[in-house]
Amino acid sequence: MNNQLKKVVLSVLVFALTIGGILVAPQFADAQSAYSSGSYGTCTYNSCGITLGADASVAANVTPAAGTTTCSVGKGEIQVTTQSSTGYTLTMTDSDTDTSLKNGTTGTISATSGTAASPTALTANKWGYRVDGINGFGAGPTSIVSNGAIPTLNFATIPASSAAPDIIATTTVAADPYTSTFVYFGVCANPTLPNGAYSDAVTYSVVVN
Amino acid sequence: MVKRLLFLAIIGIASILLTGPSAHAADSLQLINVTPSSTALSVDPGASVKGSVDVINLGKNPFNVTMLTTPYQVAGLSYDPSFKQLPGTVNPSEWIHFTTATKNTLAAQKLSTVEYTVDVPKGTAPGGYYAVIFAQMDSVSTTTGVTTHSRVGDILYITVNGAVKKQGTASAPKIPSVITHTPVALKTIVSNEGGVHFQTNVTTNVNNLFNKTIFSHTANAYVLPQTERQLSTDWSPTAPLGIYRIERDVTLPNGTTTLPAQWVLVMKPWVIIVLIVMIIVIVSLVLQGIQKNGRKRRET
Repeated sequence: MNNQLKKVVLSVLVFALTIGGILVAPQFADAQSAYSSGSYGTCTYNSCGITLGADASVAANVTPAAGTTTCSVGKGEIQVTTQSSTGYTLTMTDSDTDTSLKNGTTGTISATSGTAASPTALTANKWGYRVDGINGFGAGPTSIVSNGAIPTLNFATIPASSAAPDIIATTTVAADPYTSTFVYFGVCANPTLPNGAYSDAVTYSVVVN
Repeated sequence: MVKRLLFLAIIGIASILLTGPSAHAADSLQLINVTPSSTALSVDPGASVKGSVDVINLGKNPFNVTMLTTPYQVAGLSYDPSFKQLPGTVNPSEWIHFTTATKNTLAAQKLSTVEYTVDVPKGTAPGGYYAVIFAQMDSVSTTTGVTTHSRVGDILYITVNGAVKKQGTASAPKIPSVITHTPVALKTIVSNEGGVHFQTNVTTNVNNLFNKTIFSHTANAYVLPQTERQLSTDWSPTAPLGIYRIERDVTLPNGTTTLPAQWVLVMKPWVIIVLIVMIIVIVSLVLQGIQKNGRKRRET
């Protein structure tokens, strides 16, 4: 056997031993240790509880400047805790069928035309919501804004109470300790909008999966 | 009463010890708990069954609670919930009648037990019916901004007794034989072809070449009639390279089914790079050898 052939045979042997070592050694180590169980809750149906915590309100005050559209973005937090092994789903709708921000009967800030699946940029005298990292919203991150320019991130309308809710968080495992979801409400206004206090109400619903 | 106080004390201690971060969160957030979060009931047509749900204020401030009921529907493999009645369907939320007050002011760290009956009309077809009892925390409406109302649900899985088909099947979506990126989503789909829900246990085990279980996960879930439910767990193999067998056992109305095992090769990206480099080295050595042998032959 010449030297070159020896080198090739040796290389193939080293290759085979390396692969064998990488393949078998960790599995042998695995075999010596207790297995790692998946993450799941300690209670099953009919015994789990579920807890929801939320800010009672979210403010996004805007002072329109002459000749331009001014926007603000407020942030609300929702916390859910459950030991249910299947996790939970958190949804949101408007509390009634009117999805506008209302200032009594004198002014209306309409909901944006974007949806959770296909959100759009806010425009003058529109409002909407977004949740980073779910549906079509993209990763963000969204920041709180006070009287700034039109946000570069997209927002969606809040479904009316009569419509299917938007899912704003879901898990497939227990949430204990709690998991937080941050909902951002954005509103844009120009000076054509009557001054005043505009408001609306939303409903968060959470059930186990 | 003693039991209720004991229960409240346990909840309080548990919230401090087990869900520590919630404690500081309670400073600013209103916290409402409902226990249980799901309830299974069986009742004959034309009969009633009693139940109760505990509503707890885990926060530091009192709030008003309103009890309400809605239908419960699910959509898709991920069971996206909806609380609207589908046209032409029975609305079982109308069967639920509260026997205690539906509006309460709940003081901080207090529990309220809400009792109800489910009155099933005569002539209701046997099978499964679904509704949610919500405890809604009513925030005081603000004159500016967005007021939030939070509601937490107890899902009622109501079985109206009688002859009803109970049948289910299970399957596992194919996963790639070679896996390079983790975590790996191990999915199982459970189908209910019957007329009433059933509870399924999906046990997923991952075994190595030594037949040692290195990962195990059990999911427990209801599957509603005429729906498919996907149950998934994420597995993150630690070894850079390995061959594994994935096994699944699924409980169905007719017993436990073992799904066909799947073999997978897990290979981290850096292992692939090492292998490619080694193959290139070996091939170049072989080519060098062939070239040298050729030169020697020409010289002789």
